Amino acid sequence: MPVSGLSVNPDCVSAFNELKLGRGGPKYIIYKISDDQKEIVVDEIGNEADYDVFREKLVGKKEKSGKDRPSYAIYDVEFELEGGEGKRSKIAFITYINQDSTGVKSRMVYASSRETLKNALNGIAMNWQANDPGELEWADLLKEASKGKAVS
Amino acid sequence: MAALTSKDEPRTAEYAGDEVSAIVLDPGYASTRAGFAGEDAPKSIVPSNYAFYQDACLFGDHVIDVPRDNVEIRNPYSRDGIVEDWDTAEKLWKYSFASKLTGIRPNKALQEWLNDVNAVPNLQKAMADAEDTERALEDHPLFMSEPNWNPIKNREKAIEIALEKWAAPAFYISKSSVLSAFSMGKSTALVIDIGASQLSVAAVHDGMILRKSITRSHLGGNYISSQIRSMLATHDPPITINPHYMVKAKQPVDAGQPANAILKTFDQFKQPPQTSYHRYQEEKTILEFKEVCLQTWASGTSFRGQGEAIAREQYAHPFEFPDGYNQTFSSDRFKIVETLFDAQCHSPSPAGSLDAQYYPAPEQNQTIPGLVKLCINQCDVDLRPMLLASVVITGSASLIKGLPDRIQGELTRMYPSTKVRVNAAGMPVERKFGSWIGGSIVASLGTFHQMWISKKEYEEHGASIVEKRCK
Repeated sequence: MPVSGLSVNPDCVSAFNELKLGRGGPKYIIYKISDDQKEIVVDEIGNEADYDVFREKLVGKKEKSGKDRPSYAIYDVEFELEGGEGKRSKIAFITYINQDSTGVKSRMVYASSRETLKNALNGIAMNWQANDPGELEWADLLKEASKGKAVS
Repeated sequence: MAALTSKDEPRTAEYAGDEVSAIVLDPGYASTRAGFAGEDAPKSIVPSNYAFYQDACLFGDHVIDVPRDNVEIRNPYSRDGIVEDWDTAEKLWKYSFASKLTGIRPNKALQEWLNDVNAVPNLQKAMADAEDTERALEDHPLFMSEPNWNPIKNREKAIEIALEKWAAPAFYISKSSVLSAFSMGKSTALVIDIGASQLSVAAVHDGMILRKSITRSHLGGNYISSQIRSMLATHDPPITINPHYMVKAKQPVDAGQPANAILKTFDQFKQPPQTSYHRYQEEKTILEFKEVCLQTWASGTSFRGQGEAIAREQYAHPFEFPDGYNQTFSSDRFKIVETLFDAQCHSPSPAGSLDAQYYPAPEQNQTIPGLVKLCINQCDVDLRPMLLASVVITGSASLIKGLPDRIQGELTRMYPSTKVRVNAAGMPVERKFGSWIGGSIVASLGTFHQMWISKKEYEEHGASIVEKRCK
C-alpha cells in the first residue's frame, strides 16, 4: 500500500487517550495534516455534546486555497440501548473527505495517510468513511455504532 | 512542489531529502504515461503500440503514424494487459521518459569520441562507456503503477530493470486501483476500471487490495472497438473505414451516399503497410466514433426490445468518416455499450476474423454487473455495504456518455436494500490518468522517502523485496 509516510504528532495520541478516559474529557478531536505536509496534528478539541456542532465544524474546514479541507476525527458516539439496557459509547474514527469540493492533492494525501493515524490510536471501535456532508448524518452513525439497537 | 520556471535551475536529486524529482510511470495497454512527480498530469503520453520497421522498433505518435514499406504495428503487452515482450516494453518505457522528460544523459562515449574514430582509446573501454547511456534514471527514483493482477515475477522484473539497467536510486510499485481509490479520497472502495484491454473490478479495503476479490474480463475499450467493427460490417450497406492516411482528397456527399474520395496508392513501397498498421489507423476513426456517437442507455426501461425501438426513432446521431461518407446511427450506438451490461446484445464478429478470435461473445458474468456481483460475493459480508457505498469508476473507456449513471442504476437494482453510491471524477483527465495522478502526489511527498526501496536494500535482499514492501 502506498502510504504517504507522514508521522503522527505525539499530541494526537495524548488527546485521544484523554478522550478515551471519558469523565468530562473531550467529546471530539479533529485532526489535520500540517501545512508542511510532514505530520498529522491536532486541529481542534471540543467538549460540545451536540453532534451538529461537531458536524458543522468538520464540514466548514477550509484550505488556504479556499477549497474544502478534509479531516480525520475521533467522536465519542453515545447512545441508549433499547429495552432499558443502559448507556453505551463507542469511539468512532471518522475520515471526512468531501470528494466534490476538495482538490485531488488533498484527497490523495489524506486518503493515503489515514492508516498511519488509525494505527497510532489504540481503542477505536468503529471506522467511518464519509465523502460528502450527506454521509455524516447522526442517524447513520448511530445505527452503525449500535448495530441498530439504539433508542436515541 | 512549485512548478519550475525557465529561470530556475533544475534541482539536484536529494533522494532522502524533500526535493525528490521522481519519475512516475503508469504503463497501460493503449498508452504509457510518464511524468515528474508533483505535476498535475503526465507530460509524456506515448502510445504503447509501436511500429516495427526494418528490424527496428519505432515509438511515438508522430513516428508510428507514418505509412512505411511493410511496416507492422505491434504491442508489447498480452491482451491481459501484462507485459509479454520485456525487451520492447523496456525500450518503450525508457522512451516514454527519456524522450521528453529526462533527456539523453551525456556520457563519455558521446562527448569524446563520437565524431572521431581515431580518438577511441580502446574498444572494450569505449563499449563500457557507451553502456552508460543505459543509466537513464540515475538521478530519478521511479514510481510505477501496475495492473491489479500483475504476477510477482513481472513486479520483480520491473524493479530489476529500474535499479540495475536504468540505475535509478530507488523504486516503488503500486496497484493502480489503490491509487485510483485514494485519488477519490477513499481508502475503502469498489473500483471499476474500464481500460483498453481489460474491464476489472476489485475491492480495496483500508488501502489494501483484496486479492481474491479481483475479477476481470475482456470487455474493455478494445472489445467495444470490435463491436463497432462488426456493427459497421453488418450495416446495410456495409461500411468500410478508409482511415485518414489513405485519403488523398474528398468531396462532401449527402448522408448515406457513397463517398466521393480519391484514395492514395502505395505503389512506391515494395510491400504496402501490413494489416496491423491499417487496423491501428482504423482504430483512430473508431476512437472518434466512440467519443462522438456512443451513449449508454439510461436505466429505467430495458434496452432490448422496447428501448431499441425508441432509440431508433428518437436518438439518431450523425457521423462522418474520413473519406466523407456520412451516416446517422441510432439504436446501434446504444447497443454497442449495452453489451457491457447485457451479454445478449453482443453482435458476433465475422467468423474467422481477428475480432472473432480475440473478442468472443461474453458470458453474463463477464459484464459490469456480473463482475461486480462476483467481486462482492468474494468479500466479507460486513464489508459489502461499505464497498457499495463507495464505488469508484475509472479508466478511459468509462468516459462513454452516461456510463456512471447507468452503473449506479444497475447496482441500485441489484442491491435494493443497500445504499449504493457510484463516484466518477468529473474531469476527464482525472479519469484517464487517475492512477498516474495518484502516484504523482504520493511520490512527491517529502515523507515518502521512507517508503522507497533503495538500491542498497535491493542489493541486500534481491528482487523479492518488492513483494514485502509494495503490498
